[in-house]
Amino acid sequence: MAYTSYVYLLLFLSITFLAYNLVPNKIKWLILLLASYLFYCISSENLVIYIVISTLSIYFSGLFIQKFNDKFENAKKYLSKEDRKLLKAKIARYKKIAIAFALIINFGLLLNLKYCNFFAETANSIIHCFNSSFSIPWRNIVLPLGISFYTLQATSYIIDVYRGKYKADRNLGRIALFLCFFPQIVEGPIGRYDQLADQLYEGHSFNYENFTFGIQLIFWGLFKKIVIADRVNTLVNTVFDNYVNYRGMTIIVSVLLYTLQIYAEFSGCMDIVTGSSQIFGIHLSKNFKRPFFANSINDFWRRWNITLGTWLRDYIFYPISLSKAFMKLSKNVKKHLNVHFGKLIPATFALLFVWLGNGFWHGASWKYISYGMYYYVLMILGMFCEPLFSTILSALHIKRKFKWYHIFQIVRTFIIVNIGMLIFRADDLIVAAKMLISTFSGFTFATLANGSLLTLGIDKLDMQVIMFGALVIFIVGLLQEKGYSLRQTIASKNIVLRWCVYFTAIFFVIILGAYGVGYSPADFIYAQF
Amino acid sequence: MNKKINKIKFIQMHKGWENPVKAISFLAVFAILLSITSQFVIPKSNETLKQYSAAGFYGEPKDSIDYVVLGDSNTAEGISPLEAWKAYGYTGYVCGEPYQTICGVYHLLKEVLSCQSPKLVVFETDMFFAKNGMEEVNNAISNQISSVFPVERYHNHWKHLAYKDFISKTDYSWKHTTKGYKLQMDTTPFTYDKYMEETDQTAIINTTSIFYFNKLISLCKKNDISIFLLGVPCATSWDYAKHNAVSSLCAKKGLVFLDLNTEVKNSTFSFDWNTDSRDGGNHLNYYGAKKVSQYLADYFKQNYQLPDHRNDKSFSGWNEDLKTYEAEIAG
Repeated sequence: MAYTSYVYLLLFLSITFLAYNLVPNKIKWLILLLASYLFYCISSENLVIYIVISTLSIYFSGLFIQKFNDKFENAKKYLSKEDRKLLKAKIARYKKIAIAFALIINFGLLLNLKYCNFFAETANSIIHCFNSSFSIPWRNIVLPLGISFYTLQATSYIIDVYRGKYKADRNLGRIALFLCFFPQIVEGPIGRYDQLADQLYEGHSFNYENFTFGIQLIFWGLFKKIVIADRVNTLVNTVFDNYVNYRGMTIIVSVLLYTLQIYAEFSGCMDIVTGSSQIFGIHLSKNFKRPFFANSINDFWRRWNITLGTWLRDYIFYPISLSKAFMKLSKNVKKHLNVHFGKLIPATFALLFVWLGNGFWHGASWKYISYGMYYYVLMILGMFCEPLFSTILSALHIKRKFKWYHIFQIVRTFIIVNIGMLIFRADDLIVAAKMLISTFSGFTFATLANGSLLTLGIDKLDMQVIMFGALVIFIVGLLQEKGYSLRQTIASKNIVLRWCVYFTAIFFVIILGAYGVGYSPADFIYAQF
Repeated sequence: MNKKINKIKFIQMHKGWENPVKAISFLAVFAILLSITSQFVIPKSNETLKQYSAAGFYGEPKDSIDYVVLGDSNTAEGISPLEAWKAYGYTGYVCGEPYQTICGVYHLLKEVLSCQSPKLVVFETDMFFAKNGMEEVNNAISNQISSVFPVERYHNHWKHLAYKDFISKTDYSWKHTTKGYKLQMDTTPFTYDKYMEETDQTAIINTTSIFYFNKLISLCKKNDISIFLLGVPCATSWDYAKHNAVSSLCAKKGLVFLDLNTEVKNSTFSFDWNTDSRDGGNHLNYYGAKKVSQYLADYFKQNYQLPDHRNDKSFSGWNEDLKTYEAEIAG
C-alpha cells in the first residue's frame, strides 16, 4: 500500500485516525497496533511471520537480559567483591548468549532473505574460476516489507537493553508496535525505542495543531513525490536505461535530476509519514535536514538519512573506534609515529565497517558496496590530508569562515554527492564509470537549449514544473536553514491569506501531479531496500 | 467585571466551535474549488473525453445504439460494430479503453445510459484481471472521485488549456466513424508456445471487481438490458485459469459467457494467429477483428432480437460511415 495512494490516504489513514480518536486514551495504542499489522498483512501477506519472529526474539531476549541484570543488582549488595566479580562474569556470559540469540535471529533473517542470492552469486563466480560446473541455485525470494528498517530498530533495542541504556519492556504489544508502526515500516525513519515506544503507547487526545500541521506535511510530501519525483522518473529511466546513446550535458542533467528525484521522493515520503504520525500526536525522528546545504560529505551524511547514519554511528562506529584494541593501537601510533595519524587510526577502521554497512544495507549488490566505499575513501582522504589542506589554505590566505569559501564547499559537496548518486543509480560500477567519462565527451551547453532534453520522455511544461518544484524546495530549504519556520509563519497570518496559501499548495499537487492517465506511478526507491 | 467574564466565556465558547467550523468551511471551499477547476480542465469535446474513441457514443443520436461493448484495448481493437451493421443492420458502439477495469466500466456504462438505451451490453472479460486487489480499490476510489470532481481524471489537461477552455461550453456531438473500433492493419503472428492449456486452476477475481460487477448487473437489470460476457482472442494475457474464473462467476450469476479463446483453441472458430494479430498475440488486427465481429453478429442474430436498421432512413449515417470504413481498409 503506497503512502501516496488513495487507499492509504483516504481509507486507511482516515479510518485509523477516526478510530484512534474515538476510543479512550488507554487503548489507543491497540488501534495503532491493529492498523499496523493490517497494513503489514495487506502489503506483505503471510510474510508478516518474519516481523513476528523478530518481535518475539527481541522481546524474550530483552526479558532474559533484564532478568539477569535485576538478579545482579539484587545480589551484589550481599556479595563480597570477589563473588560479585564472579557473578558478574557469569551473568555477562548469559547476557551474551541472549543478545547473540536475538542478533543471530534478526540479522540471520535479513542476511538469508535479502543477501542469500548475492552470496550465492559471489560464491558461484569464485567456483567458476576453478572451472567447476557446480553452482548454488538462485532462490526466488520476496522480501518482507521494511525488513531492512525494522531489523535495525529491533537490534538497536536489544543492544541498548544489553548495554543497560534502558530496561527491557515487559509489554509485548509496545514492542510489537515499536517495530511495525505503519507510517515508518516502509522507508523509516529508523526509530529508537527510548524516543518512540512511549509516544506510541500513550494515548494522545486530538490536537488541532498536530492535525493541521500533519496534513500540511503530508501535502508537502505529496508535492515532492507526485509533482517532482514521479515527473522526473521518465527522463531518468530513459537516460540510465540507454546510457550508451547519451553523453555530455544529457548525462549531467540526468544525474542531477536523479539526485533531485531521490531526494524529492525519499524526503517526500518522510514528510508523508511524519505528517501521518503527527496527526496522531506522534513525532518521528527527523531523517532529513536540508542535505544539499552541507559543506562536506560528513555534513551531508549528518543531514541525509539521518537515522541510518546515527544507527551506524552508535552500533558500529563507536563500539569499534572506542574498543580497547583500537584505543591501544591509537595510543601506540601517537607515541611512536604521528599524533595526527594516531588519532585517526580507530576512526579509519571503524569507518570502513560503517561504510561497508551503509553500502550493504542499501542493497545486495557490489554496486551499493562500491557506493559505500566511494564515501569511505573520500572521507579517509579528507581526514588524512587535513593538515595538508590547512597548510595550503593558510599559504593562500584563505580563511574557512569566508562566505565564498563556504559556498565553494557546498558546491564541491554537491558535485561529490551527485557522483555518488550516479554510482547508486547506474546498473553497476563499470556503467557508472562509463557514464562519468561520457560526460566529458560531446559536452556542450547547447544541449540545454536545443530541445534534445525534451526528447527524453518529458515535454517543456514538465521540465518547467520540475524546475519550479526544485526552486520551491530550494527556497523552503534556504528559509529553514536560516531558522525560519514557514509553517508557523503561515499559521500566524490571517485566515484569507493562510487559506490562499493552503489551497494554492493543494491545487498544485492535484493539477500538476504526475498521476493518472499518461503516468505510471513510480515505486518508492527506498522501499526496495 | 461581569462583562469581562462574559466576554472571556464567549471567546472560550467561540474557540470550541471555531476549529470544527473552520474545518467544515475549508472543506466546503475546497469542494467548490474542485468543481470550478473541473469545469476548466474537462475536455470540451467528447473526442478527447476518454481514451481511444470510447466517448463517441455521445455523438450518436439519442437512443440509437442497440448494443454496447465495454472493455479494454482488446475490445477497441477486436470488435468492429460496422461489420455487424453490414451483416444484420445492428447498431453498436465499442467503448474500449486501455487498462480498463470493471469499476471503470461501471462508471462508463452510467455515462452511456445517460444518452443511449442499449438492449444488450457485452462485457469483455480481460478487464476482470486488469489490476490486483489493492490497485483495484485505489482505482475504484479514483473513479468515484473523478465522477464527482472530473479534475481528478483530467488534471493533466492543464498542459493544453487555452483561453476558450475557460469560456466555452462542452460540445459532445463528435461522432466516430468506426463506432469506437480502432482499426489496425499491421500483422505480427503469434507462435503457439503456450495458449489456453487446460488446467483446473482458477484465477482470482478480486473482491472490488466482483463488487462492481454486481453493481453492473443491477444497473443492467434496472434498465432492462441483457448481459453477455465475451472473451476476445488474446494469447498473451488470457489463459485457462482466467477462463475458469469467469466461467464459474457467470455460472453463479446465470450469465452467458462466450470465450472465443476456447473456440480458437478447439478450432470451432476460424481464426489464425499467424494472420489475425497485430502484435504477436496481444491485440487483433483488422482481419482478426473482422472475424470476431462477424462471429459476434451471427451470435447476436441467433440469440438476441436486435432490430435491423439498414432500411431505416434515420440511420443512413451508418451507411456513410460504412463506406468511409471500407475505403480506409481498401487503403
